[in-house]
Amino acid sequence: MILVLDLCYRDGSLSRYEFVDPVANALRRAGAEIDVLHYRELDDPSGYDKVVLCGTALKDRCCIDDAQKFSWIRDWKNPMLGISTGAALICSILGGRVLPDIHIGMEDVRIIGETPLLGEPRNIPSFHLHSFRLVLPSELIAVAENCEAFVARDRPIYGVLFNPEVRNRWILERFVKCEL
Amino acid sequence: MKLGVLFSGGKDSVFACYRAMEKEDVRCLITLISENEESYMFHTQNIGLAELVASAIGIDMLKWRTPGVEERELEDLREAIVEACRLYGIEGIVTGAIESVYQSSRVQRICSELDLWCFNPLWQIDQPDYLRMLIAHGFRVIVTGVFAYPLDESFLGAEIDREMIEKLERLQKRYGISPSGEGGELETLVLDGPIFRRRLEVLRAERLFSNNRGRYVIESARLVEKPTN
Repeated sequence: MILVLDLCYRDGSLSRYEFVDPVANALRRAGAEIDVLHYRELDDPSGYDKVVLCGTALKDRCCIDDAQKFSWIRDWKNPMLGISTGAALICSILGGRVLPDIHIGMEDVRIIGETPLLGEPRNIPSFHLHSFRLVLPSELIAVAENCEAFVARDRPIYGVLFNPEVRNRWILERFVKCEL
Repeated sequence: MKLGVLFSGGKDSVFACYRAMEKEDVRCLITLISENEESYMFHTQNIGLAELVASAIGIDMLKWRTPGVEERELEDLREAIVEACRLYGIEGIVTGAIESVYQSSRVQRICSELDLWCFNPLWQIDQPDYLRMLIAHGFRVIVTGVFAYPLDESFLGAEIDREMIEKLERLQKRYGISPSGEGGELETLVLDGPIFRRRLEVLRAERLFSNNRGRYVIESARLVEKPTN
């Protein structure tokens, strides 16, 4: 069972249609069983096999301000994928820095390191909608230029600053189907 | 949160408005009136009727004229949004974008520059499911323009119903058209729905069709009271 975590400003928000439902639908189409929860409703993620942390609206930083609710990420061992704000949150919880930098629209992401999730080094056209750049902590390795994607050194925790539910749904499909 | 909805009177902006009204406080509808029928950003078909749809819903409408020149349109949109902020104190913008990265990125940039929230509640929605949802929620939508083969004259003025959705799905499989017209294949007008205090009635209209393009030109329409529950 995959947990899809809604990081938007409140449970059942107007942003959920835009940042959570498209991810949930793509995972379902890939054959996954999923639960969708708002982060404030999550008590214990330990019963889930995998977790996806969704993106948020550009102006929405509520979950970053609520970072204490995500301390469980430090000990999480199963596959996890952070998208946009979700990736920034993982970076921040694991000791990295999140700096302001607006990025909107289609642009190539240059993959620089091979991983089971993103495949071999190449350029992939991607849709961006985020307001930060990341300075990664030592536990995370950049697998795309400008830290647009990362993986943890010793566990299957991934982050992508672009939105794979808009372009590159194959990434979500791989997250469901592949051994990470 | 006080919001303004980019509004054409077509199904996408009306349904986006419906979803926004369920969750937040919609203070105004913002309509760009493009003088360019080939506008890159804005729905131009029967745009004069948008005001009637806004009246039917009962929300104030801000009309803003644009010559419809590519990229200059964006400056016009920005000016319209600034004016909506001044008049209605809105904190964010809602659009009916479904797939168009071109449109949504441009509106996102304007909102970001103006420090506004931006919402796209139909973003990436499955299009046939969305059309079925429109009907299930009680929206009555007619086709007012067709702009791609094999959409023909029979669509003009026709109401979107289950039969039409099935036909559009077949055309999607065979010809790759977007069932909801996201690629500019068709345009629509909403006559009634759950957020409408009154409904629209078309009194006189003309079908114009040639070279795989057609318009349902509404020459006269009025608002009709709805029965109260």
